[in-house]
Amino acid sequence: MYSGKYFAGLVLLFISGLALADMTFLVQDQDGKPLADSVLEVVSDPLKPGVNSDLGIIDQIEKAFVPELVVIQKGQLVDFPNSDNIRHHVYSFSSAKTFELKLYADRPEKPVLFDQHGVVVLGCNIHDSMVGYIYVAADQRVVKTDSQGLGQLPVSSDNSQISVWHAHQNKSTEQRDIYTLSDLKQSADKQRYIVTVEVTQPPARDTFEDTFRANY
Amino acid sequence: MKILSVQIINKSLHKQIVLLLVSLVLLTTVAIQVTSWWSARNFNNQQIQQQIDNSIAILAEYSQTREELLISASSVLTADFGFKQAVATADRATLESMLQNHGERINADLMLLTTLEGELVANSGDFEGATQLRTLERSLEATPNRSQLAVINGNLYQVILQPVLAPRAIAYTLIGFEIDQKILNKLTDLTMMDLSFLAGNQVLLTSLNNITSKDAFMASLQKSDNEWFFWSRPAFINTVIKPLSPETNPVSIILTADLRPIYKEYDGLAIKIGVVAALIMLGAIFTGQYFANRMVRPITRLVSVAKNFSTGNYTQDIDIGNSSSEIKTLSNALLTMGRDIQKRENEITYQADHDGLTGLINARKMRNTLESVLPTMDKSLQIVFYIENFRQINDQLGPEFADACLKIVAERLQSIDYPLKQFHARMDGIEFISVLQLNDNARPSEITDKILQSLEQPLIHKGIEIQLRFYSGVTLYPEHGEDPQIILRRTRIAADFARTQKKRLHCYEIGQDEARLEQLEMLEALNAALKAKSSEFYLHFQPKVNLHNNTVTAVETLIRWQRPGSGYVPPDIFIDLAEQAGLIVALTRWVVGQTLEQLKSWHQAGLPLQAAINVSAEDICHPQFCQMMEQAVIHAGIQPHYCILEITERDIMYDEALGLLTLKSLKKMGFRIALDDYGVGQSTLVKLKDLPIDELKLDKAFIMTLDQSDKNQKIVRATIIMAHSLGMKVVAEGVENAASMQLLKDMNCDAVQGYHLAKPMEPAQLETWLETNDAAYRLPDIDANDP
Repeated sequence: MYSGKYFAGLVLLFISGLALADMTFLVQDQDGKPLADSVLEVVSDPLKPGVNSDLGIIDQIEKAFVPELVVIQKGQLVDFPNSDNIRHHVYSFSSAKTFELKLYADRPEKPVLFDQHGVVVLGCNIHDSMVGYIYVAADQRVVKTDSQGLGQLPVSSDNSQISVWHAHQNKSTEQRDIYTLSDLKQSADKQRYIVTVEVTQPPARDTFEDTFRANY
Repeated sequence: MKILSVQIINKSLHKQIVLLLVSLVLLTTVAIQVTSWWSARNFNNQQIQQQIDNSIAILAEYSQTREELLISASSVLTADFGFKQAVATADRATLESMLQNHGERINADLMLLTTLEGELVANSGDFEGATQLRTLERSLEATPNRSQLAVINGNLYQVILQPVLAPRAIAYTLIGFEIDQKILNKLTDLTMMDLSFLAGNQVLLTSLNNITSKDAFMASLQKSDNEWFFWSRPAFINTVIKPLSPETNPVSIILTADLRPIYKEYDGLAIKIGVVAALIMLGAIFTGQYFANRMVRPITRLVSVAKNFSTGNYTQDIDIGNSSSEIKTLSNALLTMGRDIQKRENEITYQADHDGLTGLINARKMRNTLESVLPTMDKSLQIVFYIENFRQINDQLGPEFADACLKIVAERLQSIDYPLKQFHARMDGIEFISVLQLNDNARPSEITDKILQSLEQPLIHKGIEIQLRFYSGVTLYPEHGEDPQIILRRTRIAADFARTQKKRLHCYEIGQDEARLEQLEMLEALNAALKAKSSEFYLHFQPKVNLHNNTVTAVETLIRWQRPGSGYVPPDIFIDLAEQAGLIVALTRWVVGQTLEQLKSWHQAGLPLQAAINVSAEDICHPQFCQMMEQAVIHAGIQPHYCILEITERDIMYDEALGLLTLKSLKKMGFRIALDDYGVGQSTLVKLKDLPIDELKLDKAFIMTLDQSDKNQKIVRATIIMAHSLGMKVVAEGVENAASMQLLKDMNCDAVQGYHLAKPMEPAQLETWLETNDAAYRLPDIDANDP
């Protein structure tokens, strides 16, 4: 239902970077396993801000944000419809966007505008286990790795810089690491750059109730 | 020596009994001590272990309770949306007030908010900030929802870490209780043990007193209790607990159980047991002494009894008091032993002094008696008896009968009715001796007659009647000697004299002892001469003249003894002596040998002489006499008929049967037999007819005065006729004048010898004599066998 719009955005990105050479990036964890849902963004060269007219949507289904990660362009709006039959209290204390949608059902009054570059961590005040992420990109050359950990970006030279982020990275949740391509390790056939991100799979969320139950 | 050994017994018995009792008590005490110590130790160990376990449980419980408080407080705090908001907006004032508020709810001493990197953001009170917070937080992250003991700014805290989730962790809250002296005291009260908290090697808190430094603390923990000067015991038992705490600065808890009160309690008990044991031991020593004395006293008494035994005192009462049955048995055994020894001693003494067969005192006792009794008597008579025919009785009737005779003799001696002192002894074998006291008017001969009559009474034993013959000697004390030994010897000399004189009794005559001594010396010389085969002996020969043809056909051999130092000894004397001493056989042997040698010499010189040799009763009774004679003639190469053996009738009668047998044997061998000294002594015609006699030698008593005595002429004539009629030749001895010789020739006597013709002379003289008188007394032809 929403994938069509998302796909249209990607196509648009692809067309705009056509003049440049597309490079394939493999993102893997410290064990060499491919990391899906890593976000790579070109941060060098002249900035090429993307289109920000589309409305992003993060639904809430069965006490989870769906999708868990959404990549949007700076200045884009995101709507937080509630598909559950319970209320949610969506909030974020992230520096890129601090907001609060107090207990609501169905649909908030209006979508939220994300006008700063960065990572926004979403939570629900009454459901501690609910975590969602919105990656607000400043450049149209941004990609989310597929299930193979692969993503392609149009880069101009070896001096180009990219940022790498993953929700479960060991570094601070909102931090994006910058790499110069020439510093990156390449595959044997020089077809792809390899980026390693140290991650920790978050344990099942320790809620107040869990702790209580474990102790008694 | 004896006393010493008694003391040794005494000591060792004492020692052993006391030692036994003391050892038993000591052993029991040690056993009790060890057992009580062991069980007390086990019990105490269990108690202490129990206490330690309890304390650990208490500490764990306490810690958990507080941990839950911390968890709930921190959870509530971090779950608060307002708090999260305040954290996100870094609203420090709000944060601190919230931390304070929540901290007060649980009385927390530490309420901190830090960044994820451990930088202090806010705190509830006057916390100054601390290094190493990040390290502590990393340690706490590894044990989610578990509190740890950590040292922060030098103080000890039980802390817990909670992330502030929005919804990912954006900060940490660090909440804790301080563990201070107050808490420590509380825990010490709860656990009833000393507690110490250490961070690494640093002593943070301890309930032990006077701890100023780590070294002092460790020394205190290792402290020994030296109550027992040779044995040190640990004063404390320490158990170390490692609670959850940062690895970089780990905290440990030491639980210390003080053992000293237990030791004190036990030592008190041990001393009590020791004192009781010492008292019992003291009692044991006294009791042991008492029992040992009781036991040893009768033993000492028995030892003195045994000592008395050694001095010959066998009859004594033993006062052993109220002793044990063993001692009583020993005492009775000792007394029985004493009685038995005395009895045996009496028996031995009796046997030593008495003759076993007759019951009379023995020779030894008699000698002692003489020694002691003679000086007490003014006068006494000693008489010694020998049974003359004892050997025959023994041979013919057997030793049992002979012994019976000895007993009867003893009985007869003992039954002699005599008013004064008398002693009777059997000396050796057949010798008896009696000593009788004499008074002034006593007549010894009457007394001896009375005794001998009594002894000589016919004796009947087992239906056989025999008559004992005695020869006896008598001495009188003190006339015949005052020394008992001398008296005894002289009495025996007297008896010996009686024997040789064939008398039943001889009284000692003064000087006999000396004569006897001389005799003994002579006997010794005779014996030595015989053994030496020296030339002290030599032979004389007296010719016999055949009256029918005036020829010299024979000579009589006569022995002579030239004793060195004493000169010529008459043959009567030494031959008698030799007969008495049993030397006559040897003497005869010598004479026979020498005579035959001489005959051989003469025969070779053409003098066919016969020789007459005197033999005695002992010679013909000697079992080898015939054999000796035979060998002698063979050795000399002389025909036996040149040898005439002269023997008196009395000698033949000494042992008639044997004598006759020997003479017959000799005659059969070819020897000629002459009956010497015929006409005197006990010659009987009855016997004469049976004797194997070749010639009869008329005793010189008839011949020497023949020409002057009509009666002798009648006897001689009649005898010659009788002898001739019995087939015997007659030789007359002691012819001293021509008239007598003529008379004998007229009476048809066969041969004569005597001083009228020739004295006995040495061989050389005889040869000269024969040559000189060849005309008068021609020698017969060498072949002439008959005189």
